Amino acid sequence: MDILQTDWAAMTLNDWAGLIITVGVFFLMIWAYVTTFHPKNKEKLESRSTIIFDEDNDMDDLSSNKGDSKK
Amino acid sequence: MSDKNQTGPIQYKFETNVVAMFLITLGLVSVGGIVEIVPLFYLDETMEHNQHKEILWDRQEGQTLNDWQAGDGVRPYTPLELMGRKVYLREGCYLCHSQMIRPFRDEKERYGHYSLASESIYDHPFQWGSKRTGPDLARVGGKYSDDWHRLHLEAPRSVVPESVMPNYPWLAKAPVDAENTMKHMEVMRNMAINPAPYTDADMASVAAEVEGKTELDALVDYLQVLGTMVKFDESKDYR
Amino acid sequence: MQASLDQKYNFEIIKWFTVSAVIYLVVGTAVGVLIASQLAWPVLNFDIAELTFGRLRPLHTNAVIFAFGGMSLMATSYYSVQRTCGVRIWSDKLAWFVFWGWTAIIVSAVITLPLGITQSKEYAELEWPIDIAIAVVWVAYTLNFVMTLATRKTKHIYVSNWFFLSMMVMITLLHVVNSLAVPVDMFNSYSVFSGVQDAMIQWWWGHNAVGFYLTAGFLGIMYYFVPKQAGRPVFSYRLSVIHFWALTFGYVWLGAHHLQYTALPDWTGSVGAAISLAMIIPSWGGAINGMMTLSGAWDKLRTDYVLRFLIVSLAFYAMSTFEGPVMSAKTVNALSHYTDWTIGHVHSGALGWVAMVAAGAIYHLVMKLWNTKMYSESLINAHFWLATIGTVVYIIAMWVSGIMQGLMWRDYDQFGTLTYTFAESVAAMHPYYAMRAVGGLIYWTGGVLMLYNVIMTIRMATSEKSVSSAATATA
Repeated sequence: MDILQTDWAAMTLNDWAGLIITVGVFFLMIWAYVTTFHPKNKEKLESRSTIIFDEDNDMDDLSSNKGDSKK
Repeated sequence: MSDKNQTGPIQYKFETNVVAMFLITLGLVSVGGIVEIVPLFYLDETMEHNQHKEILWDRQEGQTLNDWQAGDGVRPYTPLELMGRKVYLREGCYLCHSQMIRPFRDEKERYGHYSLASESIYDHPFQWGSKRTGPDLARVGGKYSDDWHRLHLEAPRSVVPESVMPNYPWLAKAPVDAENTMKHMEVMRNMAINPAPYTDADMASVAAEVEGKTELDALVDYLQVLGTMVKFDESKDYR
Repeated sequence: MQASLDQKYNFEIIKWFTVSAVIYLVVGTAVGVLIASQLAWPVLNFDIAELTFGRLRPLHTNAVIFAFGGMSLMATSYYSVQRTCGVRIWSDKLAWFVFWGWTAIIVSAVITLPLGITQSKEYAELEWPIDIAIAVVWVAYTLNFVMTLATRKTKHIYVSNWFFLSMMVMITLLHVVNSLAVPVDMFNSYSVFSGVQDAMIQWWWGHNAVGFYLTAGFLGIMYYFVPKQAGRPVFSYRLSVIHFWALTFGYVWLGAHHLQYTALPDWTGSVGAAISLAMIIPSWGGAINGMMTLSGAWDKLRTDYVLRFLIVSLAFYAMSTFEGPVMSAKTVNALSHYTDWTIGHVHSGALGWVAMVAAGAIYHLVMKLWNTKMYSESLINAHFWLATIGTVVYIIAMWVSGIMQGLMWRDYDQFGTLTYTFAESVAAMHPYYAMRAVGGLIYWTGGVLMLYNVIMTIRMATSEKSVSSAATATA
């Protein structure tokens, strides 16, 4: 039997459930990818990366051997 | 907690709300486990004895564990075998020996017929192992004499010069305690899942079975029964 | 300045976690070097029950994963959550309970495992009373972390805390399910599950101990300490959003690849293999995100030895999370399963990724907590090279021996019979077992240098502070 053919009649309940979940998760991933990398969300999301530098700038230039002043 | 009017992608909802983050993570991580574990408990194909009844020992009324012959089918361990298995667990033999033969030509030739899931139905916990520093033991039963096993366990290099296995001289000096064996069998008998079907006669026979036996005797008994329980019909494909 | 930070945050508890982590690194790898040597020279078992390989190997794995790994995670997660939330740990007392509780669990493991008190489930050998203690301490650890997050001052939870949180949630689930056992007495118990179901549950637990404890937890460390050490924000915060959710959802499915071609139904192994291959993408998402955080600061690697640890660990992380999925494909697994290749893969992840990212974080922490420079810069560099070379020697030994084992077991001669007996394959392993022990010894030496360096730094810092406080007192 040609492997690309699908015997739709023989599909059991489990097969249908599995198919729907897989395709659903696939579209969920595409939606997540698009919303996260959509330009309009860029500023909002990227701005979170500086949390760790915001509050403790008094610590940075003190002890660590990085030497350079904070960015 | 942070202000709720935070607009932005749904990611904001999770990044700003611990409870939401906790619950969504809990939900996401439980999907994979459920899909892979739960079906193994209700799908018949998981255990081969559901399709091939002869794999499990069809024990008749009044038969004792000693009436069982090799190939009669999978049965729970005898008292001495169970204590030998306890030594196998205690010494961590599963760290260098596997008990799982794969359906490959070389493994069939070196070890024997591939292992069935039903063969380890009474193994709490399972001892399939993940490393073969030493050879697979799934069908070692009957391949070597009792005396060979005693010599080998005492000093492996005396019979297998290349072996890297430690010596186990203390096994011969440790007696098997009947009362302790009884406790182990009680627990195996009352397991919620796949309990060992011991009869009252089996429980009563413990004292006689383990009388004067050492841990070495017990371990040899356990090794000698491994893989001998099912008589395979080469024409059948069990998987 | 530093004094105000000491009041604002609970640094004291983190100091204890950090020093414990370094000690357990040296102890855990020492046991590793011993058991590796025992495989090369079996006489090193000394015919003493408590020292044989079968009892020390669980001690090695529990020591490096739960003692060293545990203390590193607890130090870094409590440090990261306080700093990124701008608030003190929710309960100091609970934090001390977690520290002394986890230490008691480690001590109980060091006692029970050599005595042969074990549940004989790989990496989950600790007996049932200790399992209960682990559950209690781990829930306390999680509660303290979550409540600190709940009482945070910043609006957003930083990415490193997502990873720590997903680790805590998953490990609780895993530990409870895989520890279900019926006690025979105080020191003996039998798993509730058996056979194929127990196998699947054990490796669902086993792989996710790697997936969440040694990967997600340590990615949490990476996401805090790499940006801080490099002085650059994370390369792409959006990439961390995508790869976090993919990792959290995907990693759980992988356990079945430990059981390819066994009596586990084929469909489970196929699901495990397929998703293992897919998991390369989120794993490399993390590795690339960490590496690229250095864009514009690569020159720092020339002088900043701590940064070298963090970056080389990401290289090993990328390598082992590529090697893993390849090994989980059935055809490759048919060769690699049960061989030393698996051990090579484990240690490229453990020595290369886990221990090196933790070492980088610990050096950073020691300097921040004691507000000092390290006692010796060159010792950090020496440790770095010993760790890198030790890891590479270890992996190469295991790759060569593992693939040779696999090929020797399946080889046929011209008469159609097996070419090698199993004993011949064991004999062929000897030089590689020796080489692996040497690699481990090199790695262990690096650990000793770190312990010495950290202790001297603390003595230097505390004596300086006592001198300066004495000065201010007299002034």
